[in-house]
Amino acid sequence: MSVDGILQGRIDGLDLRLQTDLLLDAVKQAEGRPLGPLLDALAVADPLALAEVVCGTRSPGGAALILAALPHAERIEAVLSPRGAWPRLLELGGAEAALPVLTTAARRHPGASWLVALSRKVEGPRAGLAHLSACSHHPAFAQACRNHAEAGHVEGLVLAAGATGRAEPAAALLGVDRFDAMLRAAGAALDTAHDSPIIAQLAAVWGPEPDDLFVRVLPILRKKQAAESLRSHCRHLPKTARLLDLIIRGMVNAP
Amino acid sequence: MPDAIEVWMPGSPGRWPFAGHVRGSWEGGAIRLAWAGRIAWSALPEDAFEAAEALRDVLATVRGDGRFAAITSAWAAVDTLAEKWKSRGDLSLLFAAVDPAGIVLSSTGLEAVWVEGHSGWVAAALSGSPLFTEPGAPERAPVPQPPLRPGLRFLGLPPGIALPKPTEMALACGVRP
Repeated sequence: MSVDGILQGRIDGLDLRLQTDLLLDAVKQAEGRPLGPLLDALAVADPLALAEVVCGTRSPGGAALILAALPHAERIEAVLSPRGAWPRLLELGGAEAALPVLTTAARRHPGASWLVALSRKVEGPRAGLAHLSACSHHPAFAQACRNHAEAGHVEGLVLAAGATGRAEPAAALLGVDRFDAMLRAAGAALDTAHDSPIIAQLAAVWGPEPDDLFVRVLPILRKKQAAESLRSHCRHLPKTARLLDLIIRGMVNAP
Repeated sequence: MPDAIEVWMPGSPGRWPFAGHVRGSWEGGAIRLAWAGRIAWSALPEDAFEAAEALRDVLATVRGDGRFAAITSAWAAVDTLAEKWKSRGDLSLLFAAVDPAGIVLSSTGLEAVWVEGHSGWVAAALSGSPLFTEPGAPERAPVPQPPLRPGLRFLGLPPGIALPKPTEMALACGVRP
């Protein structure tokens, strides 16, 4: 069986468990040729052989191999635990593949706590941005925000608030007493989505009398639409309502 | 001026401890009515906030010329809550009313009521008290009960909520300095 043939996915005659060396040699000799056809064929024929080639102990790794393997993540996870597989894929893919690996992992396991450490490894000070951006419509989003907040991933949460327009990053930051960061996240969310439910979510974290809290939040407002949206939720927040009325009037006259 | 009674309720476990929580009071002459409660607390924060706003709306109408009348008015107000909120059956609410003649309590959806005395928090009602019922808006206004001990700060515990440590009580109830 030639290297070219193997790389083109012609593996019918191989014993995939006993002749893994042939597969690994072909990958090592690919020299820029596409790895997709081989991985496609392995995914169909034998997930264990696929996992061995992609992230086994003898895998040559490299961004090309790992990026080509991402569409087959489900098959790899059929034989390897996600908690073990994704850090290994990250390690083998290097910097070039790191963000796609993290994003794919986040899409597949939005609520996984191990994504917090993986995010820190890939994104450094922006940890959480890729994970949270990838799962903003998943039910686990709020818990993921809380996990990142507890890990101290402040910048990632603020950036994720801006990227998604969601209120959960601000609420998570409030929940860990990062007040200044909460303000930035709330402002970023409202800049992106003026109807972001900031009041409901912050109140749910803060307590039953959030009027004084929101008075401190209002200076972040930059858009009249956001101010008006907040105003519609203030019928039992008298201080906030009064201040918002002033802010909205000022915004009318702003250039 | 009536005694400045307050009612507290601890937050629920989870990411949204105060979803659907309300706390408030009304004063008229020598009468004061205070309350704390939660509704739709297990819903999404946005829905819980809407429910809490609806509860605040109806409680904003309470009046009364005495402590019993204030509590009767409060339950009448609760009865006007929209069916979509009442039908959830998850309302927990504690009222405390004071006038020059004394204090009475009335509640729904609580397992315990505590009062802060000179030596700390103590039970304000014995087990089996009419104060302790299943959560939900009551079909008939519960009969008000005097507390076992006097005090100015009362705490209602919904089912499954443990009494917070005294040193953490205020924060656990969302009472911020």
